[in-house]
Amino acid sequence: MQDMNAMQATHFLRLLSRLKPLMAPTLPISTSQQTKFILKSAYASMAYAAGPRRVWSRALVRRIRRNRRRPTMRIINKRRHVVRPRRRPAEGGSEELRKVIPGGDTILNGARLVEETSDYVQFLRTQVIIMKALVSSFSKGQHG
Amino acid sequence: MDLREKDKFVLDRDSENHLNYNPSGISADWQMGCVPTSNSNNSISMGVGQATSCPSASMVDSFSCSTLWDDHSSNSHNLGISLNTTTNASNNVHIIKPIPPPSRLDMGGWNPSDHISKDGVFQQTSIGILPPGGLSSQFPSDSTFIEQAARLSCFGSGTFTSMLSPFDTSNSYFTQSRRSDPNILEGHNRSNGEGSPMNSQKDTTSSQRVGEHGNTEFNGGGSGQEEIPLEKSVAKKRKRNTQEIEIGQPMNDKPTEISKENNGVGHKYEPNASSPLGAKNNGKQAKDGGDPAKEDYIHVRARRGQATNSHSLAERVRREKISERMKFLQDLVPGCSKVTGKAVMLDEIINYVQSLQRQVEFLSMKLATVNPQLDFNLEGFVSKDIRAGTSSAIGFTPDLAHHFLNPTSQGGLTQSGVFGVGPPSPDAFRRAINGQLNSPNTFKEAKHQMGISCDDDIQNILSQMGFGNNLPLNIQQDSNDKTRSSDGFTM
Repeated sequence: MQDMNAMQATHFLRLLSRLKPLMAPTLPISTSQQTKFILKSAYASMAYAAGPRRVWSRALVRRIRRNRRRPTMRIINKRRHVVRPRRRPAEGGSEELRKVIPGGDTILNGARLVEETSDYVQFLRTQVIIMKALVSSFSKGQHG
Repeated sequence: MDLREKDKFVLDRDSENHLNYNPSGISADWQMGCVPTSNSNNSISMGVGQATSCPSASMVDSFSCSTLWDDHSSNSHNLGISLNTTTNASNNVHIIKPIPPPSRLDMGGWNPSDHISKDGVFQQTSIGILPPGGLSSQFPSDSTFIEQAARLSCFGSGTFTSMLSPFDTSNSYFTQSRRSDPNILEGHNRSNGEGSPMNSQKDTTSSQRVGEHGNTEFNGGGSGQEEIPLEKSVAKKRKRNTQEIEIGQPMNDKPTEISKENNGVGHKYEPNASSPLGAKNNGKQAKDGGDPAKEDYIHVRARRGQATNSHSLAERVRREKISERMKFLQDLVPGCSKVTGKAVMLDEIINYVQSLQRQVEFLSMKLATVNPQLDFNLEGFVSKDIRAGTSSAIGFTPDLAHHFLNPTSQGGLTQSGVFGVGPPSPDAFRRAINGQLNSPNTFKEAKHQMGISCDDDIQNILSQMGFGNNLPLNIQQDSNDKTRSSDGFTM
């Protein structure tokens, strides 16, 4: 796991450093835009660190790309709509869980959903830690 | 670009994971479930070729079963028809000893049903093949048939529409089953045949009860799990049937079985299930007499099990898997270990995930305000950040390692544990981190990209790490406490 944390951290920072000139060519961008950009890159680095094996990472990537893409790309996304309605009738209590986990509604198997959830939780946690450390390092750097 | 790399694996993995998702999970179960049932002493012995038909039928089972019951309602008056269909359902589900059907079958009337069931699909066309009503005379010699006859007769007399609403009509089913049971079950040796439906019924009732409590998926296997060693031999196709036709076949035997066997097994919901049954009278007494005998044959019964048994078995295994993963998730989510009950735990997990997501959003906002220029200098930040952040992250990751989620080696754990020692320089520190976590290939690439060259520094740092440092693992506790991650460990 430790390598995943570090990888996540490196990817996150790399994303931020690389994408910043692309996303915000003009420096004075609003805080909300910055927030969104950082948030996106955070999820992107999370998904990238997790790899394509995870349903949630793929769904995250799709979500990020969907936001960035033009609406003309919707045609390609039609296949997604075909896939989604397929649902297992016995969901148990996992309906809300599917809403929370990205791409969870496409996961039919309950066991797989739990697995994805735990994986997602792990990556979320490390992302939170990374960002906390970043913020603290920034504030420390600013203050002293 | 990282995003482009993501595109690649999105394209590659998206379809295949979706396609492989269910079949791999389901067919594996079916394959596993089909094989052990070869030892069962089912009265109707279908060839091993049925095993192959099971996986194919597995997907269809759940849907066909419901339709099957719908058809039954129309033919409820016809015992033979209903018997035939249920037999087919059960036969299709179970892989039985490869005994040639004619030798095993006492009734000639079952031969056509054998051929039918050999197709491996629930067939309602078989209804037309069997002589209507002519089968009842043939059943007495075979316990399984008797069971099925009993169950089917109960359904025949009852209304199938109630079956389709599992959560409301479980009681009504018991009443129906009670009435017709004594007629058919008297004088028959139902030990073998009843075992499996009883077990399966137990599962279905328990699963139904769980569903009533709102946790079908996660709690349903609770009652079934105790019988896993018994029913594991039964084909897992029963799992599907139970899921779809929860009120289906087993309803008849369930009340008595539950009262007798479940108590031994310790199911929670048994009293609930048996109480409505207690109201039943004749059927129950007739069955009670046979219950002790049945209990002796539990193992046999499980193997011979009817369609529902195999379904409940498969469902049990599935629930075991889910509970296993839930346990791991429980360890991940703080404060979940105290909670018992999957519904509350699920809520906790959902809350935790949502709080984490909110935290990420909040932190990104804070990062934006702290760093308005969005100036992320990789070299310096990685060292500082990794030292502050990942060391604490690394500290608690050993707890999270799980065999099916994190197969990565934990060789660097000890080294990472002492990561908090004050390093001579940020670069060296970063190199140390990279050296520690150097197992994956991607990290080597990251190393190169970050300009780390020599491994000698890594060795030096690693030796320096030998100081030993206790990292307090407080990661889980602080929600928005930003300073804690860096202050949490002594440098």
